[in-house]
This record gives sequence, C-alpha cells and structure tokens, in this order.
Amino acid sequence: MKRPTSIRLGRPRIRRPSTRRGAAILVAAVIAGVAVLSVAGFVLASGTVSLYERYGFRPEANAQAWADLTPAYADASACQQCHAAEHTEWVESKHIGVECETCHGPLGAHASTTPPVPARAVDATGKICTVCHEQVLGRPAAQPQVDLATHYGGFPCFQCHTVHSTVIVARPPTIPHPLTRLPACTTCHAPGGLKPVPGGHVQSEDAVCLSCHFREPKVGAPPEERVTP
Amino acid sequence: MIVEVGGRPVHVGPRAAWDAAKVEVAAQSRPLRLWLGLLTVLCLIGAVGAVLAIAPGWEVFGTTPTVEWGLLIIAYVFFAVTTSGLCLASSLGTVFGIEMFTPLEKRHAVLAVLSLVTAFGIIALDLHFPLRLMFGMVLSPSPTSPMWWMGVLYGIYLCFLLTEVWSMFTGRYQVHQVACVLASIMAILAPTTLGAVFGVLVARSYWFGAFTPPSMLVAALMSGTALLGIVFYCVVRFQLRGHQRAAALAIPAIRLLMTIVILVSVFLTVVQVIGGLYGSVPGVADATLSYLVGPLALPFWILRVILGLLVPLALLLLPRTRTPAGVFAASCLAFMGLFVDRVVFVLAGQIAPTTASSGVVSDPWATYVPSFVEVSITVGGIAFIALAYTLAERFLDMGEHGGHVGFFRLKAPTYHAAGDEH
Amino acid sequence: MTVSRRRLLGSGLAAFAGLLGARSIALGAPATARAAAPGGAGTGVAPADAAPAGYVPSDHRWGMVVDTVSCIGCGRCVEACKLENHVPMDPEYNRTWVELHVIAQDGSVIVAAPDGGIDGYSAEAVAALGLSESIRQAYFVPRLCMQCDNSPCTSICPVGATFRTEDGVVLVDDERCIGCGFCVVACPYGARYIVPAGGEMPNGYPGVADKCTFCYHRTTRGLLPACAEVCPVEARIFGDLKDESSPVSAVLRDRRTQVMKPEAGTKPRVYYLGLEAEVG
Repeated sequence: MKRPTSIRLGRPRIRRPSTRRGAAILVAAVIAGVAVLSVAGFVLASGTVSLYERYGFRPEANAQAWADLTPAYADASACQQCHAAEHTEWVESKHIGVECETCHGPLGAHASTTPPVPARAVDATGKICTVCHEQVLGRPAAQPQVDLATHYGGFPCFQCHTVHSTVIVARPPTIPHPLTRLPACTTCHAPGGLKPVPGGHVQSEDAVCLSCHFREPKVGAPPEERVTP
Repeated sequence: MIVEVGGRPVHVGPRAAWDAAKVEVAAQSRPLRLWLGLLTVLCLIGAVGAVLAIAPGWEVFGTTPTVEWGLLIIAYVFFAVTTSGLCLASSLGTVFGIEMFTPLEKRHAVLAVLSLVTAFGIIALDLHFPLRLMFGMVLSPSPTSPMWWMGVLYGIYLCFLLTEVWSMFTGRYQVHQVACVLASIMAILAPTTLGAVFGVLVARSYWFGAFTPPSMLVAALMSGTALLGIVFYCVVRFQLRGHQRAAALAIPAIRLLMTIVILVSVFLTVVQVIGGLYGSVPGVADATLSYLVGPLALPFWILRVILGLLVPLALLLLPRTRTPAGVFAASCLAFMGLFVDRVVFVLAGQIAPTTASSGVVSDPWATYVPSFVEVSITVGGIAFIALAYTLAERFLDMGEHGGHVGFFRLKAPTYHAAGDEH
Repeated sequence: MTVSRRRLLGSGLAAFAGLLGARSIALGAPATARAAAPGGAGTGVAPADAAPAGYVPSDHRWGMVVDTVSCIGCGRCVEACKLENHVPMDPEYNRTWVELHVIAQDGSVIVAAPDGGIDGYSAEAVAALGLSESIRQAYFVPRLCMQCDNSPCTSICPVGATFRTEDGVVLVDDERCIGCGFCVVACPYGARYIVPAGGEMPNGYPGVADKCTFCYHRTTRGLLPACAEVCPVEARIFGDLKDESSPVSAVLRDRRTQVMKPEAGTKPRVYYLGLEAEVG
C-alpha cells in the first residue's frame, strides 16, 4: 500500500463571513420557487389550461386572417351559370355524386372572373377515369371498377364512354354513334375488337355495315339512334 | 492613437493591435499555435455553416416531417446537458465545500458559460425565427409547454452562471457563494425540463414517461464530469495554474465521480433496453430495436456501450490506468460516448414512428442524413468552446482562491499529513 | 443599495414601454405575402357568397366523419387540399393523405401511402408494394388533422402560436410561430409539417408549422372543406357538431364511430367508420 502523500495541503485560514441572513433569504427563495413550480405542475396536470387561450393573447386576429383567405374551389352552382347544358347532363347522369371540380380542378377563379381565367384541361388519356374506376386492392365492391388488363386496353376511355351522358341507362353509359366522331366500324366490331360481331358475319367497309345497320333519322331524333344494333 | 496606461504610453489602434497580436501569437509554443490554428479553422467551417443556415432557404437541414429534430437539436441537447453537468459535478465543491472538489471552482464556471452560449447559438441557428422566440416567450408565454420552461430556466441559469463568473473573478466571494448555490439548483431544474421536453410527448412512446428527465440528468453528469476530466488532465499535463492541487485532488475526485456516473449509466441503459423490449409495446419496442439491431446499432454498441461506457470504466478501475492520463482517456471516450448516446436517444424516438407523418409512411425506419451545414455547425460549436476556453486558460487566473467556497460547507476536517501540527 | 422610488418607477415604465415596442415590432410586420396569395388565385374576385362577416364562431363546433368503408382511394381529396390551400406539391408535405391498409391472413398490418395518395392507387402502385401474403382485408384510410379537443400541439407550443378557435379548429398563427417543430414531433397523428421554402406556401410564410385547418376560409362562409367537396363517394362527412340536423351529427347518432389512438387521450373531432382495431 502506498504511503499517503506528505505534501501539506495548507490553505490560508480565512474567517468565514456570517451568512445567517443570507441563508434565510436563500431558503425562502427556494421555498417560493418550489411553490411556484408546484402551481405550474398543477396547471400542467389539469392539461387543459393554456395561458394563450384563457387570457386570449388575441388569437381571434389570426383566426380572422385564416378566414379571410380566398377559396379556390367553387360549387357546381357556379359552373351552372355558364355551362347549363353540361350541368343538366351531369345532374341526370350516374356521376351526379361527383362534383365538377373533382375532375376539372379548382374553378373558383374561372367562375368569378371575366374573361374567365382558363380552367385546367382534363387529362384526355383516361387517367382521370382510372383513378376512380380501376380495379385496385382495397376498393369497395360497390364502386364500379374494371380490371384494366382485360378491359379493352389501348383505347382511351372517352372513345366509348361519355361522362355527361344524358341517357339514363344501366352501366356503362351509352356508346355514342355519331358517325363523324368514330373510327371505322371494324375498330370495335372486328373479331378481335371491343365488341366483335358474331361469327359468320360480313367483315367489310363501313358502307357495307351501314347498308343494314342504318335507319333514316326521325325528326328530332338524336344522332345516336341512326345506327341500329 | 497613444494612450497613457499606468504612466506608460501605449499605442492603440488596428495596426498596433495587429502587431501586438502577431507578437503574442509568435510567443506561444508551437504545439499551442497548432492547436489554436486547428480550432480557428474548425470555427471558420462552423461559421460558414452558420451563414448558410441563416439565409432563408431552410432546405439546408436534412430534417423531414418524420425526423424533424436532427443533428442541431442533438447538439443543443448535448451542450445544454454538458453545461448543467459541469455545475452539478463541481457543486460538491462550490456548494458543499468538499475539499476534494474545490479545485474545480473556476474552470467549471467558464466552461459552463461557454457551453451554454454555444447551445443557445446552435438552437438559434436551428430555429426558423429565433427573434420571435425571444419576444414570444415573454409576451405570449405558455406555461403548459416544457420547452417554454426549458428556455426560462436555462435563461435564469445563464444569469446565475454569469453572476458566478463575474463574482469569481472580481473577488466578491459572498456573492459568489450564493450564485454557486443558485446555479447548482438551476443545474438540476433546467435539464429536468429538457428531459420533460421529450418526456411529455404521448406521441413518442420511446421518450414518453417520467424516466426521461432523470436520465437526462445522468447524461448531464456524465458529460460534465468527462469534460472536467479532459480539462484537468490538461491542467496537470501542461502545469497550468493550480496544477498541484489539481493533480492531488481534482483528478481523483473526477475519477470517483466518473466511476459512479458510468455505473449508473450502465444500469440505466440495461433497464431501458429490457423495459423497451418487454411486452412489445408499439413505438417503444421498435425504437429499442432500432438501436439494438437496426440502423443505430453500430453507433450504439461500438461507440456508446463499448467505447463510451465499458472501456472508460475499465480504464478508471484497473490499477495500471489509474493515472491522470487514464482519467483523460476515459473522459475523452465517455464524452464522445455521451454525444453518441444523445444521437441515439433523439433519433431512436423518431425513426420508428407509429403513424405516417405528413403522408409519408416509414417502413420500417425513417431515414435521416445530417447535411453539411448541420455537421459544420456542430463541429464549429465544439471548436468554439475549445478555442475560447484555451484563450481563457491563457489569459485568466483559473487557480483557486482558497477557502471561500461552500455556502453549505460541511464540517469536515481539512487534510493534513501525519505528523503535522494543527 | 438604495434606489429612489422615482428611479424605480421610471425604469419600470421604460421597461414596459420597451416591451410594448418590441411586441409591435414582432407582430406588426404586415402580412404582405398573404395579401397576394401565391398560386394565382388572388387575381379573381372572391365568390359571391364571400366575406365571413356575421359568422359567430361560438355557434359552431366543426367535426368530420371519415367513412373508410366507402373510400375508394382516388386521392382527389389530397389534390384538392393542395390546390385549395397552396400546400407544397412535394409528396413529403401533406395536410391530408390517403393510406392503404392491408391486413394479411396472419394479422399483420401493412400500411402504404405512395406520394400520400395524390395520384390515387393504380394496380401498378399496389403491385409495387410487393404484397405476397394472402390478404384478409384491405381498405383505404384518409388521414388529416384530428382537430383534437385535448390537443398535445396547443399545450406544448412554447410561444402559444398554435391555438384552438371557439369553433373547435386548431390553427397556427404564422406570425408567432418560431418553427421549432415541437408540434410536428408532438402530434400523435403526424398531421403537421414545417413549411419548406420555395414553391407553394399556404400563407406565404416558409419555416412555420402548418396543418389542416378544416379549410377555415371555406367553412366560415358556409362551404365544405375542399376535401369533402370533391370526394366522389362522400367518404368525408363534414358538419357542425352543435347542429343536430347536420349530416355529421346524423352519422354520429345513427352509426358506431371510433377515433384513432384513443389511448393518447387527445379527444379528436374527426371520427372514423369502419376502422379495424389494428389500425395505428
């Protein structure tokens, strides 16, 4: 075992000043501090008191500032003022539950300016349709949905489906046949197409198809009724 | 401009100051010049980072809504607990007058002030609107917020520390005694509220609970004692002021305190790991696994547990290394280990979230990579403390002034060798 | 040390005046960014039913019911919220988002939210999740700020910048917020984020906390929040909890609802239909 060090660790002897009054003050301060902290702890424990809310450091001013912002989305009633025809179509269609702006984006500025600022163009590739109508894991069965792999792939949705359809039918909405807008009959009705004709049928040009499948338009009949099944 | 000082004319002005500084620097020993030069370079790197952080881009940090508290918060926590620990460790000397700890009286205060100032500087750089904090804390206080309390208490602590330093160097011993007591009380309360900042969050099960504030206190003791160990080894090694009493008293005192704190830390770590894994509580179990086997495993096991706890413990206990150099090595490792411990603590609570954050699902762990700005600010902070303290050691009298510390001095006998007369 | 009464009063008044001046400096910065709403919507005139004058907040208590049975995961609500509120288009910042919850046969829960669901869920996106186990159940869960009655965020804000209005909506005062991120970390539902600089900013202020406001500027004018407005299947039912005839009161009365993370004690005002117990 080592010998204890023999260095004299002397210090000058200084008379300690009297601190009895200082000690009393210190103890009082500590007690006061503990009391304050206990009150604060009680406030914390009650959990619902916020000085900010209780004494209202003017939060109403900021709430008003938030309330004063301009909405970007309008309502279908705003669209109706100029687009009455589409509005009527929509009201009578299967898409009545879907707001205009769900697909067309925010229209508040478009509806309230003259001349109207351009609205967002609808994506014509059909993505706007598949985002709701593609068959996806997790989508409830009540939602009309198709498996894109087997549903006439390669054609944009709008070619066969109308959105603002006026005709109330069972799903899907009618396939319009105004002849000016569609490709040749065989595009859809060829054996490998969307809706192939039964076997043994004549495969030919449009004129041949129409020689059987055309009827004279009645007065006032919509274009869809020119081509018969 | 020539000014009369003590009867002698002294040249004052930028040119004269520059010449005097050159003479002063050249008068230092070469290792000291190298040390100061290295620290200056690191401080400049930190300054670059600070300037980049102030510019209103705010994409300079690597934080995301999932991991919102990153390296700067970790550095702030680290420096804040260090400053509290310095006061706590030396309070045994300054408050209770235990002679074994009295050599720590001046150096700890200077270190504590520097560490706290650095902590405030780092948090000011992290906050997006630090000026609003200063006004907002006073004009729209929020006593339900542990962060508010933390700011208040660390602010009060800074005042007491500055009073302590001022009275220490101007010979106002009565004020110094009282200031030491008040600062030591704050040194307990402030890191407790810092722990409460993490501990009240019901959203983060890993941090939540009454356990976090005391464990922050233990972390404070660890880092404060380790920093004192580093500094006092330098005092002994370079024979700075008061080095005899430092070697005879301070080094053993630090060794004693370090050993106790490391043992307590080991105990706390074990309890936290077992408690975290038991029962697979969501949030806690994931966070514990993140540092046991997940992305934080390497820093935790190697840097924190082995190098930060077990190796220092061995160095302090084994007979061969019970030397000032052994204390120094143990302190360096423990200091580094505690920084890694704070990294693990802050990150583990965020990288294993129980819910998507702002639309981002973290599966299984969220990622956080500190950016150059964050790293440079942290490095600059450490370098600043080292640089400022080196200069303080050079230009201030850090030795003891004997006999006046200890407001609550215990009636213990003074040390005398055998055979001395009273 | 003796101080004369006059000096004490004088210094006290001076300090008080200084504090008032500081307060005005801190709060008086005009919200110039708010006047010109970024994103171009400021060019238009406000809609005809504008100006929330006459709106008494204490007459209302806003709440929402989210129907996860009906939700089809189209993500229109996510897009609408971002366009209505100028939320950054970055997928990392969402005021609302849609998650896909998949419960496998062994009971394990897989949660996914590609880009927060803003582009909906396509078969490719779901396939990319690599779900190999057989699936017992899968459904979509829209998520947003729960506007809690006992919100952790309002308690822990160090400067009281986030607060609850009398109609129950938790808002962030962007002139008081310091951007510390405490509320972001404290929210048990991950509903908050710090606004990044550049690009869209909800109020023109980067660096402050932001979250769903129940489209406060719309609900005070009698409109629905943007997400509830565009939902094609009415999976978000919004209304006044104080009004017994409102749709949300009807649902709360007639159907069994639950809240997320009830153990957190936050008392949310957004209720859910059709959640499984495993949902976190």
